[in-house]
Amino acid sequence: MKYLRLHLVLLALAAVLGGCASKAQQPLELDNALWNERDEVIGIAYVEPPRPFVSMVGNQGLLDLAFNNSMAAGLKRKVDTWDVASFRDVPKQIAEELNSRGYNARVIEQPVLPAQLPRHKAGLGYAGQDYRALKQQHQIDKLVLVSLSQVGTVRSYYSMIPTSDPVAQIGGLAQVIDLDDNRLLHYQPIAASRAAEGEWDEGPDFPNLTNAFYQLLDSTEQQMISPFRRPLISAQHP
Amino acid sequence: MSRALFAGVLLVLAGCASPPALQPQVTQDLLPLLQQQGYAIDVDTSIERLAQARVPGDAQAMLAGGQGASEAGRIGGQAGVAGPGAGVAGALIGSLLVAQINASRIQAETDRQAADLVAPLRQAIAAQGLDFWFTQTLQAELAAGDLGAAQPESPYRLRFEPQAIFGDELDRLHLVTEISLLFGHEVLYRGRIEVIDAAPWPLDSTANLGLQPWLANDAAAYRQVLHGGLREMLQVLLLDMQTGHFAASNSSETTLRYQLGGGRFVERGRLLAQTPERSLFMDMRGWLKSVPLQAAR
Repeated sequence: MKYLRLHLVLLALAAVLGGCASKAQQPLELDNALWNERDEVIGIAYVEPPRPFVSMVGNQGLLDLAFNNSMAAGLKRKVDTWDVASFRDVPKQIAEELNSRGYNARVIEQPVLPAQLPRHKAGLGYAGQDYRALKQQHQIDKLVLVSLSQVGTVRSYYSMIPTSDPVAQIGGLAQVIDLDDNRLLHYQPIAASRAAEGEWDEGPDFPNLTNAFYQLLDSTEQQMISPFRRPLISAQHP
Repeated sequence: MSRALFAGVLLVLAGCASPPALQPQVTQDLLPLLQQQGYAIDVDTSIERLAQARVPGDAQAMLAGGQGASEAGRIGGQAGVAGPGAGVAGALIGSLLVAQINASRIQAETDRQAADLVAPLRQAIAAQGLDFWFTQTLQAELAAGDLGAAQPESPYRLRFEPQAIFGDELDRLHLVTEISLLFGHEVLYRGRIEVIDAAPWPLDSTANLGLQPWLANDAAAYRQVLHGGLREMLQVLLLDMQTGHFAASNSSETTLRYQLGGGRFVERGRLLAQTPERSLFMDMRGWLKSVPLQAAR
Protein backbone atom coordinates (compact mmCIF):
# COMPACT_ATOMS: atom_id res chain seq x y z
CA MET A 1 0.00 0.00 0.00
CA LYS A 2 2.86 2.29 0.93
CA TYR A 3 4.47 1.69 -2.47
CA LEU A 4 1.17 2.19 -4.28
CA ARG A 5 0.83 5.64 -2.72
CA LEU A 6 4.42 6.47 -3.67
CA HIS A 7 3.78 5.45 -7.24
CA LEU A 8 0.61 7.50 -7.41
CA VAL A 9 2.42 10.55 -6.06
CA LEU A 10 5.22 10.14 -8.59
CA LEU A 11 2.68 9.71 -11.38
CA ALA A 12 0.86 12.88 -10.38
CA LEU A 13 4.13 14.79 -10.17
CA ALA A 14 5.13 13.64 -13.67
CA ALA A 15 1.74 14.72 -15.04
CA VAL A 16 2.07 18.18 -13.49
CA LEU A 17 5.63 18.68 -14.67
CA GLY A 18 4.72 17.48 -18.16
CA GLY A 19 1.99 20.08 -18.29
CA CYS A 20 4.49 22.74 -17.32
CA ALA A 21 6.79 21.93 -20.27
CA SER A 22 7.42 25.01 -22.44
CA LYS A 23 5.80 25.13 -25.86
CA ALA A 24 7.65 26.27 -28.94
CA GLN A 25 6.80 29.62 -30.52
CA GLN A 26 4.65 29.00 -33.59
CA PRO A 27 5.29 30.93 -36.83
CA LEU A 28 3.59 34.32 -37.01
CA GLU A 29 2.58 36.10 -40.20
CA LEU A 30 3.78 39.68 -40.48
CA ASP A 31 1.52 41.78 -38.28
CA ASN A 32 -0.26 44.82 -39.76
CA ALA A 33 1.24 46.89 -36.97
CA LEU A 34 4.42 47.10 -39.03
CA TRP A 35 2.59 48.42 -42.11
CA ASN A 36 0.16 50.74 -40.31
CA GLU A 37 2.63 52.66 -38.17
CA ARG A 38 4.43 54.49 -40.96
CA ASP A 39 5.97 57.15 -38.77
CA GLU A 40 8.01 54.65 -36.77
CA VAL A 41 11.64 53.85 -37.48
CA ILE A 42 12.43 50.23 -38.39
CA GLY A 43 15.90 48.93 -37.63
CA ILE A 44 17.12 45.88 -39.54
CA ALA A 45 19.89 43.73 -38.13
CA TYR A 46 21.47 40.33 -38.44
CA VAL A 47 23.10 37.83 -36.12
CA GLU A 48 26.59 36.78 -37.19
CA PRO A 49 26.08 33.51 -39.11
CA PRO A 50 27.93 30.36 -38.04
CA ARG A 51 30.59 28.77 -40.20
CA PRO A 52 29.28 25.94 -42.38
CA PHE A 53 29.92 22.49 -40.95
CA VAL A 54 29.40 18.80 -41.79
CA SER A 55 26.75 17.18 -39.61
CA MET A 56 26.54 13.40 -39.11
CA VAL A 57 23.31 12.00 -37.68
CA GLY A 58 22.24 8.48 -36.81
CA ASN A 59 23.38 5.64 -34.54
CA GLN A 60 27.12 6.06 -34.10
CA GLY A 61 29.50 5.16 -31.31
CA LEU A 62 32.68 7.06 -30.52
CA LEU A 63 34.78 4.83 -32.79
CA ASP A 64 32.18 5.16 -35.54
CA LEU A 65 32.25 8.94 -35.22
CA ALA A 66 36.04 9.01 -35.45
CA PHE A 67 35.99 6.77 -38.53
CA ASN A 68 33.19 8.71 -40.21
CA ASN A 69 34.92 12.02 -39.54
CA SER A 70 38.06 10.65 -41.10
CA MET A 71 36.18 9.42 -44.19
CA ALA A 72 34.46 12.78 -44.56
CA ALA A 73 37.72 14.76 -44.39
CA GLY A 74 37.61 15.72 -48.07
CA LEU A 75 34.06 17.03 -47.82
CA LYS A 76 34.92 18.87 -44.59
CA ARG A 77 37.80 20.64 -46.32
CA LYS A 78 35.44 21.84 -49.03
CA VAL A 79 32.63 22.82 -46.65
CA ASP A 80 35.16 24.89 -44.70
CA THR A 81 35.59 27.06 -47.81
CA TRP A 82 31.86 27.71 -48.19
CA ASP A 83 31.04 31.32 -47.56
CA VAL A 84 27.82 32.78 -46.13
CA ALA A 85 28.93 36.41 -46.49
CA SER A 86 25.93 37.15 -48.73
CA PHE A 87 23.70 36.70 -45.68
CA ARG A 88 25.11 39.94 -44.23
CA ASP A 89 23.49 41.81 -47.15
CA VAL A 90 19.97 40.63 -46.26
CA PRO A 91 19.29 43.58 -43.89
CA LYS A 92 20.32 45.99 -46.64
CA GLN A 93 17.95 44.32 -49.12
CA ILE A 94 15.08 44.40 -46.61
CA ALA A 95 15.77 48.08 -45.93
CA GLU A 96 15.68 48.84 -49.66
CA GLU A 97 12.31 47.12 -49.98
CA LEU A 98 10.84 48.97 -47.01
CA ASN A 99 12.24 52.35 -48.03
CA SER A 100 10.89 51.90 -51.57
CA ARG A 101 7.44 51.49 -50.01
CA GLY A 102 7.75 54.73 -48.07
CA TYR A 103 8.80 53.37 -44.68
CA ASN A 104 11.66 54.70 -42.60
CA ALA A 105 14.05 51.76 -42.41
CA ARG A 106 17.72 51.73 -41.52
CA VAL A 107 20.35 49.03 -41.32
CA ILE A 108 22.17 48.34 -38.06
CA GLU A 109 25.68 47.71 -39.28
CA GLN A 110 27.05 45.73 -36.34
CA PRO A 111 25.64 42.23 -35.79
CA VAL A 112 23.33 41.79 -32.81
CA LEU A 113 24.50 39.42 -30.08
CA PRO A 114 21.37 37.78 -28.62
CA ALA A 115 23.44 35.70 -26.15
CA GLN A 116 24.54 38.91 -24.44
CA LEU A 117 20.98 40.15 -23.98
CA PRO A 118 18.87 39.21 -20.94
CA ARG A 119 16.20 36.54 -21.32
CA HIS A 120 12.63 37.76 -21.59
CA LYS A 121 10.26 35.36 -19.85
CA ALA A 122 6.94 36.78 -21.01
CA GLY A 123 6.11 33.57 -22.89
CA LEU A 124 4.62 32.92 -26.31
CA GLY A 125 4.15 35.91 -28.57
CA TYR A 126 7.23 37.66 -27.19
CA ALA A 127 10.86 37.48 -28.20
CA GLY A 128 12.98 35.08 -26.17
CA GLN A 129 15.65 37.73 -25.52
CA ASP A 130 14.92 41.25 -24.32
CA TYR A 131 15.70 43.58 -27.25
CA ARG A 132 14.09 46.68 -25.75
CA ALA A 133 17.46 48.28 -24.98
CA LEU A 134 18.08 48.56 -28.74
CA LYS A 135 15.28 51.11 -29.01
CA GLN A 136 17.32 53.74 -27.16
CA GLN A 137 20.68 52.51 -28.44
CA HIS A 138 19.80 52.80 -32.14
CA GLN A 139 16.82 55.20 -32.00
CA ILE A 140 14.47 52.69 -33.60
CA ASP A 141 10.94 51.59 -32.79
CA LYS A 142 10.83 48.17 -34.36
CA LEU A 143 13.53 45.60 -35.04
CA VAL A 144 13.75 43.19 -37.96
CA LEU A 145 16.26 40.51 -36.98
CA VAL A 146 17.51 37.73 -39.26
CA SER A 147 19.73 34.86 -38.19
CA LEU A 148 21.07 31.51 -39.37
CA SER A 149 21.62 28.50 -37.13
CA GLN A 150 22.57 25.22 -38.83
CA VAL A 151 24.56 25.80 -42.00
CA GLY A 152 26.34 23.11 -44.01
CA THR A 153 25.57 19.50 -44.85
CA VAL A 154 23.86 16.61 -43.08
CA ARG A 155 24.25 12.90 -43.69
CA SER A 156 22.74 9.93 -41.86
CA TYR A 157 24.76 6.93 -40.70
CA TYR A 158 24.33 3.55 -39.11
CA SER A 159 27.58 2.84 -37.32
CA MET A 160 30.29 3.35 -39.97
CA ILE A 161 27.92 2.96 -42.89
CA PRO A 162 26.43 6.06 -44.52
CA THR A 163 22.73 5.48 -45.12
CA SER A 164 22.12 8.59 -47.21
CA ASP A 165 24.00 10.98 -49.44
CA PRO A 166 24.96 14.28 -47.80
CA VAL A 167 22.47 17.07 -48.46
CA ALA A 168 22.88 20.79 -47.94
CA GLN A 169 20.97 22.12 -44.94
CA ILE A 170 20.20 25.56 -43.53
CA GLY A 171 18.25 26.60 -40.45
CA GLY A 172 17.31 30.22 -39.88
CA LEU A 173 14.92 32.63 -38.24
CA ALA A 174 13.42 35.96 -39.26
CA GLN A 175 11.70 38.03 -36.54
CA VAL A 176 10.09 41.43 -36.25
CA ILE A 177 9.98 42.77 -32.70
CA ASP A 178 8.08 45.74 -31.33
CA LEU A 179 10.66 47.41 -29.10
CA ASP A 180 8.02 49.02 -26.87
CA ASP A 181 7.09 45.73 -25.26
CA ASN A 182 9.30 43.09 -26.98
CA ARG A 183 6.23 41.62 -28.67
CA LEU A 184 6.72 39.52 -31.78
CA LEU A 185 5.15 40.98 -34.92
CA HIS A 186 6.60 38.28 -37.16
CA TYR A 187 8.23 34.95 -36.48
CA GLN A 188 9.40 32.83 -39.37
CA PRO A 189 11.58 29.81 -38.59
CA ILE A 190 13.24 28.21 -41.62
CA ALA A 191 14.55 24.65 -41.88
CA ALA A 192 15.47 23.58 -45.39
CA SER A 193 17.58 21.01 -47.14
CA ARG A 194 18.58 20.44 -50.74
CA ALA A 195 20.13 17.46 -52.48
CA ALA A 196 22.85 17.79 -55.08
CA GLU A 197 21.59 17.63 -58.67
CA GLY A 198 23.48 14.68 -60.06
CA GLU A 199 26.46 13.02 -58.45
CA TRP A 200 27.54 14.56 -55.12
CA ASP A 201 30.80 12.70 -54.53
CA GLU A 202 33.19 14.55 -56.84
CA GLY A 203 36.06 15.62 -54.65
CA PRO A 204 37.92 17.81 -54.04
CA ASP A 205 35.46 20.50 -55.19
CA PHE A 206 32.09 18.67 -54.87
CA PRO A 207 30.57 21.03 -57.46
CA ASN A 208 26.99 19.72 -57.38
CA LEU A 209 26.78 19.75 -53.59
CA THR A 210 28.41 23.18 -53.47
CA ASN A 211 25.86 24.54 -55.92
CA ALA A 212 23.04 22.97 -53.89
CA PHE A 213 24.31 24.75 -50.78
CA TYR A 214 24.52 28.18 -52.42
CA GLN A 215 21.12 27.70 -54.02
CA LEU A 216 19.70 26.83 -50.61
CA LEU A 217 21.39 29.83 -49.03
CA ASP A 218 19.95 32.11 -51.69
CA SER A 219 16.44 30.70 -51.34
CA THR A 220 16.64 31.09 -47.55
CA GLU A 221 17.69 34.71 -47.95
CA GLN A 222 14.85 35.33 -50.42
CA GLN A 223 12.40 33.70 -48.01
CA MET A 224 13.45 36.17 -45.32
CA ILE A 225 13.18 39.17 -47.65
CA SER A 226 9.92 38.28 -49.42
CA PRO A 227 7.46 39.28 -46.62
CA PHE A 228 8.76 42.84 -46.98
CA ARG A 229 8.44 43.04 -50.76
CA ARG A 230 5.70 44.97 -52.47
CA PRO A 231 3.10 42.33 -53.41
CA LEU A 232 2.78 41.54 -57.15
CA ILE A 233 -0.48 42.46 -58.85
CA SER A 234 -1.90 39.21 -60.23
CA ALA A 235 -3.38 38.99 -63.74
CA GLN A 236 -6.96 40.18 -64.00
CA HIS A 237 -9.26 37.71 -65.69
CA PRO A 238 -12.04 39.25 -67.80
CA MET B 1 32.39 -15.44 -43.75
CA SER B 2 30.30 -12.40 -42.78
CA ARG B 3 33.31 -10.12 -43.50
CA ALA B 4 33.75 -11.63 -46.96
CA LEU B 5 30.05 -11.21 -47.69
CA PHE B 6 30.15 -7.64 -46.45
CA ALA B 7 33.17 -6.85 -48.62
CA GLY B 8 31.47 -8.43 -51.61
CA VAL B 9 28.34 -6.36 -51.15
CA LEU B 10 30.46 -3.21 -50.86
CA LEU B 11 32.20 -4.01 -54.14
CA VAL B 12 28.91 -4.64 -55.92
CA LEU B 13 27.42 -1.40 -54.62
CA ALA B 14 30.58 0.52 -55.57
CA GLY B 15 30.11 -0.75 -59.09
CA CYS B 16 26.80 1.08 -59.22
CA ALA B 17 28.63 4.46 -59.11
CA SER B 18 28.05 6.82 -62.06
CA PRO B 19 30.78 7.50 -64.69
CA PRO B 20 33.24 10.38 -64.09
CA ALA B 21 32.30 13.89 -65.30
CA LEU B 22 33.84 15.33 -68.49
CA GLN B 23 37.18 17.05 -67.88
CA PRO B 24 37.74 20.04 -70.22
CA GLN B 25 40.85 19.84 -72.34
CA VAL B 26 42.21 22.12 -75.04
CA THR B 27 45.33 22.18 -77.21
CA GLN B 28 46.70 25.56 -78.37
CA ASP B 29 46.17 27.06 -81.86
CA LEU B 30 43.23 24.88 -82.81
CA LEU B 31 41.44 27.40 -85.01
CA PRO B 32 44.31 27.93 -87.50
CA LEU B 33 44.83 24.18 -87.56
CA LEU B 34 41.21 23.44 -88.43
CA GLN B 35 41.04 26.27 -90.96
CA GLN B 36 44.08 24.90 -92.76
CA GLN B 37 43.48 21.16 -92.41
CA GLY B 38 39.70 21.07 -92.42
CA TYR B 39 37.58 18.84 -90.22
CA ALA B 40 34.96 16.10 -90.45
CA ILE B 41 31.88 16.27 -88.29
CA ASP B 42 30.02 13.71 -86.18
CA VAL B 43 26.73 14.50 -84.47
CA ASP B 44 25.42 12.00 -81.94
CA THR B 45 21.82 12.92 -81.33
CA SER B 46 18.36 11.38 -81.06
CA ILE B 47 14.79 12.43 -80.35
CA GLU B 48 15.18 11.38 -76.70
CA ARG B 49 18.33 13.46 -76.28
CA LEU B 50 16.71 16.51 -77.91
CA ALA B 51 13.67 16.50 -75.60
CA GLN B 52 14.43 15.93 -71.94
CA ALA B 53 13.24 17.45 -68.68
CA ARG B 54 14.90 18.18 -65.36
CA VAL B 55 12.97 17.40 -62.18
CA PRO B 56 14.64 18.13 -58.82
CA GLY B 57 15.29 15.24 -56.42
CA ASP B 58 13.52 15.05 -53.10
CA ALA B 59 16.10 15.86 -50.41
CA GLN B 60 13.67 15.22 -47.55
CA ALA B 61 12.77 11.76 -48.87
CA MET B 62 16.45 10.96 -49.27
CA LEU B 63 17.25 11.92 -45.69
CA ALA B 64 14.15 10.21 -44.33
CA GLY B 65 15.06 7.02 -46.19
CA GLY B 66 18.60 7.18 -44.89
CA GLN B 67 17.50 7.70 -41.31
CA GLY B 68 14.97 4.92 -41.67
CA ALA B 69 17.71 2.59 -42.91
CA SER B 70 19.88 3.65 -39.98
CA GLU B 71 17.07 2.84 -37.55
CA ALA B 72 16.38 -0.50 -39.26
CA GLY B 73 20.04 -1.37 -38.89
CA ARG B 74 19.97 -0.51 -35.20
CA ILE B 75 16.90 -2.66 -34.54
CA GLY B 76 18.25 -5.51 -36.66
CA GLY B 77 21.56 -5.42 -34.80
CA GLN B 78 19.78 -5.65 -31.47
CA ALA B 79 17.64 -8.58 -32.67
CA GLY B 80 20.62 -10.59 -34.09
CA VAL B 81 20.17 -14.26 -33.18
CA ALA B 82 23.49 -15.72 -34.34
CA GLY B 83 25.63 -13.79 -31.87
CA PRO B 84 26.78 -10.16 -31.77
CA GLY B 85 29.30 -10.37 -34.69
CA ALA B 86 27.00 -11.89 -37.29
CA GLY B 87 24.05 -9.80 -36.11
CA VAL B 88 25.96 -6.53 -36.56
CA ALA B 89 27.36 -7.58 -39.96
CA GLY B 90 23.89 -8.53 -41.14
CA ALA B 91 22.44 -5.27 -39.88
CA LEU B 92 25.17 -3.25 -41.61
CA ILE B 93 24.72 -5.06 -44.91
CA GLY B 94 20.97 -4.70 -44.63
CA SER B 95 21.12 -0.98 -43.91
CA LEU B 96 23.56 -0.41 -46.77
CA LEU B 97 21.32 -2.26 -49.22
CA VAL B 98 18.22 -0.44 -48.00
CA ALA B 99 19.95 2.93 -48.40
CA GLN B 100 21.05 2.08 -51.94
CA ILE B 101 17.61 0.78 -52.88
CA ASN B 102 16.02 3.90 -51.45
CA ALA B 103 18.32 6.20 -53.41
CA SER B 104 17.68 4.23 -56.60
CA ARG B 105 13.93 4.35 -56.02
CA ILE B 106 13.97 8.12 -55.60
CA GLN B 107 16.10 8.53 -58.73
CA ALA B 108 13.84 6.21 -60.75
CA GLU B 109 10.77 8.16 -59.69
CA THR B 110 12.45 11.44 -60.64
CA ASP B 111 13.41 10.03 -64.07
CA ARG B 112 9.88 8.76 -64.65
CA GLN B 113 8.38 12.17 -63.85
CA ALA B 114 10.81 13.83 -66.24
CA ALA B 115 9.99 11.42 -69.09
CA ASP B 116 6.24 11.85 -68.57
CA LEU B 117 6.63 15.63 -68.69
CA VAL B 118 8.09 15.70 -72.21
CA ALA B 119 6.37 12.68 -73.78
CA PRO B 120 4.02 14.78 -76.00
CA LEU B 121 6.92 16.86 -77.34
CA ARG B 122 8.95 13.76 -78.16
CA GLN B 123 6.05 12.42 -80.20
CA ALA B 124 5.69 15.71 -82.08
CA ILE B 125 9.37 16.14 -82.96
CA ALA B 126 9.81 12.46 -83.85
CA ALA B 127 7.22 12.94 -86.60
CA GLN B 128 9.23 15.90 -87.94
CA GLY B 129 12.65 14.22 -87.86
CA LEU B 130 14.04 16.92 -85.62
CA ASP B 131 17.26 14.99 -84.96
CA PHE B 132 18.07 15.08 -88.69
CA TRP B 133 17.13 18.78 -88.84
CA PHE B 134 19.50 19.50 -85.94
CA THR B 135 22.43 17.83 -87.66
CA GLN B 136 21.76 19.68 -90.95
CA THR B 137 21.43 23.01 -89.16
CA LEU B 138 24.63 22.46 -87.21
CA GLN B 139 26.56 21.73 -90.39
CA ALA B 140 25.10 24.81 -92.10
CA GLU B 141 25.99 27.10 -89.18
CA LEU B 142 29.54 25.73 -89.06
CA ALA B 143 29.93 26.24 -92.79
CA ALA B 144 28.81 29.87 -92.47
CA GLY B 145 31.32 30.56 -89.67
CA ASP B 146 35.08 30.89 -89.27
CA LEU B 147 35.77 27.16 -89.55
CA GLY B 148 34.18 26.76 -92.96
CA ALA B 149 32.33 23.72 -94.27
CA ALA B 150 33.11 20.24 -92.98
CA GLN B 151 35.28 17.96 -95.13
CA PRO B 152 34.40 14.29 -94.62
CA GLU B 153 37.88 13.07 -95.62
CA SER B 154 39.71 15.16 -92.99
CA PRO B 155 41.54 13.22 -90.23
CA TYR B 156 40.38 15.80 -87.68
CA ARG B 157 36.96 14.77 -86.35
CA LEU B 158 34.79 17.29 -84.55
CA ARG B 159 32.19 15.38 -82.54
CA PHE B 160 29.05 16.92 -81.03
CA GLU B 161 26.82 15.22 -78.43
CA PRO B 162 23.90 17.59 -77.82
CA GLN B 163 21.07 17.30 -75.32
CA ALA B 164 18.13 19.70 -74.98
CA ILE B 165 16.65 19.77 -71.48
CA PHE B 166 13.66 21.72 -70.20
CA GLY B 167 13.73 23.34 -66.78
CA ASP B 168 11.13 21.97 -64.35
CA GLU B 169 8.71 24.86 -65.04
CA LEU B 170 9.05 24.34 -68.83
CA ASP B 171 9.83 28.05 -69.14
CA ARG B 172 13.40 27.65 -70.35
CA LEU B 173 15.51 25.32 -72.46
CA HIS B 174 19.07 24.18 -71.78
CA LEU B 175 21.10 23.05 -74.79
CA VAL B 176 23.98 21.05 -73.31
CA THR B 177 26.60 19.95 -75.83
CA GLU B 178 29.72 17.90 -75.19
CA ILE B 179 32.26 18.55 -77.92
CA SER B 180 35.48 16.78 -78.71
CA LEU B 181 38.08 17.18 -81.44
CA LEU B 182 40.00 14.03 -82.25
CA PHE B 183 42.99 13.32 -84.43
CA GLY B 184 42.94 9.55 -84.56
CA HIS B 185 42.84 8.58 -80.89
CA GLU B 186 44.47 11.81 -79.72
CA VAL B 187 42.09 14.25 -78.05
CA LEU B 188 42.89 17.82 -79.09
CA TYR B 189 39.87 19.43 -77.51
CA ARG B 190 37.16 18.37 -75.05
CA GLY B 191 34.55 20.71 -73.64
CA ARG B 192 31.01 21.04 -72.42
CA ILE B 193 28.95 24.09 -73.34
CA GLU B 194 25.51 24.82 -71.93
CA VAL B 195 23.33 27.50 -73.52
CA ILE B 196 20.22 28.50 -71.62
CA ASP B 197 17.34 30.36 -73.22
CA ALA B 198 14.04 31.51 -71.80
CA ALA B 199 10.78 30.71 -73.58
CA PRO B 200 10.13 33.27 -76.34
CA TRP B 201 6.69 34.30 -74.99
CA PRO B 202 5.94 36.69 -72.09
CA LEU B 203 5.83 34.67 -68.92
CA ASP B 204 2.88 34.85 -66.55
CA SER B 205 4.10 34.14 -63.03
CA THR B 206 0.56 33.26 -61.95
CA ALA B 207 0.13 30.35 -64.35
CA ASN B 208 2.19 27.41 -65.51
CA LEU B 209 1.56 27.19 -69.26
CA GLY B 210 3.06 23.75 -69.55
CA LEU B 211 4.21 22.18 -72.78
CA GLN B 212 1.42 23.52 -75.02
CA PRO B 213 3.14 26.72 -76.25
CA TRP B 214 6.20 24.67 -77.25
CA LEU B 215 4.02 22.27 -79.26
CA ALA B 216 2.03 24.91 -81.17
CA ASN B 217 2.52 25.25 -84.96
CA ASP B 218 4.46 21.99 -85.30
CA ALA B 219 6.78 22.87 -82.39
CA ALA B 220 7.89 26.10 -84.13
CA ALA B 221 8.85 27.83 -80.87
CA TYR B 222 10.87 24.82 -79.77
CA ARG B 223 12.75 24.72 -83.07
CA GLN B 224 13.39 28.50 -82.91
CA VAL B 225 14.88 28.36 -79.42
CA LEU B 226 16.93 25.29 -80.30
CA HIS B 227 18.34 27.04 -83.36
CA GLY B 228 19.30 30.10 -81.31
CA GLY B 229 20.98 27.88 -78.75
CA LEU B 230 22.94 26.07 -81.44
CA ARG B 231 24.28 29.38 -82.86
CA GLU B 232 25.32 30.57 -79.41
CA MET B 233 26.98 27.21 -78.64
CA LEU B 234 29.13 27.48 -81.77
CA GLN B 235 30.16 31.06 -80.91
CA VAL B 236 31.21 29.96 -77.42
CA LEU B 237 33.08 27.00 -78.89
CA LEU B 238 35.11 29.26 -81.19
CA LEU B 239 35.86 31.61 -78.30
CA ASP B 240 36.94 28.70 -76.11
CA MET B 241 39.32 27.41 -78.80
CA GLN B 242 40.69 30.90 -79.54
CA THR B 243 41.42 31.68 -75.87
CA GLY B 244 42.76 28.28 -74.86
CA HIS B 245 39.82 27.69 -72.52
CA PHE B 246 40.01 31.29 -71.26
CA ALA B 247 43.48 30.72 -69.86
CA ALA B 248 44.13 34.46 -69.51
CA SER B 249 40.99 35.15 -67.50
CA ASN B 250 41.72 36.22 -63.90
CA SER B 251 38.16 36.37 -62.55
CA SER B 252 37.68 34.59 -59.22
CA GLU B 253 35.01 32.11 -58.12
CA THR B 254 31.89 33.84 -56.95
CA THR B 255 28.16 33.22 -56.49
CA LEU B 256 26.38 34.00 -59.75
CA ARG B 257 22.71 34.89 -59.61
CA TYR B 258 20.58 35.32 -62.70
CA GLN B 259 16.92 35.67 -63.46
CA LEU B 260 15.41 33.58 -66.22
CA GLY B 261 11.73 33.74 -66.97
CA GLY B 262 9.94 33.32 -63.67
CA GLY B 263 12.88 31.68 -61.96
CA ARG B 264 15.94 32.81 -60.08
CA PHE B 265 19.13 30.78 -60.45
CA VAL B 266 22.20 30.58 -58.32
CA GLU B 267 25.48 28.79 -58.86
CA ARG B 268 29.17 29.14 -58.20
CA GLY B 269 31.42 30.02 -61.08
CA ARG B 270 33.76 32.53 -62.75
CA LEU B 271 32.31 35.27 -64.94
CA LEU B 272 34.23 35.29 -68.22
CA ALA B 273 32.46 37.60 -70.63
CA GLN B 274 29.38 39.74 -70.88
CA THR B 275 27.51 41.31 -73.80
CA PRO B 276 24.31 43.39 -73.59
CA GLU B 277 22.33 40.22 -74.25
CA ARG B 278 24.20 37.39 -72.52
CA SER B 279 26.68 36.43 -69.83
CA LEU B 280 29.26 33.67 -70.20
CA PHE B 281 30.71 31.95 -67.17
CA MET B 282 32.73 28.89 -66.24
CA ASP B 283 31.33 26.61 -63.52
CA MET B 284 33.30 24.71 -60.91
CA ARG B 285 34.06 21.87 -63.30
CA GLY B 286 35.40 24.13 -66.01
CA TRP B 287 32.22 23.76 -68.09
CA LEU B 288 31.00 26.82 -69.95
CA LYS B 289 27.55 28.28 -69.54
CA SER B 290 25.87 31.05 -71.53
CA VAL B 291 22.76 32.68 -70.05
CA PRO B 292 20.57 35.53 -71.30
CA LEU B 293 20.95 38.72 -69.30
CA GLN B 294 18.00 39.70 -67.15
CA ALA B 295 17.96 41.56 -63.84
CA ALA B 296 20.22 39.56 -61.54
CA ARG B 297 20.82 40.62 -57.98
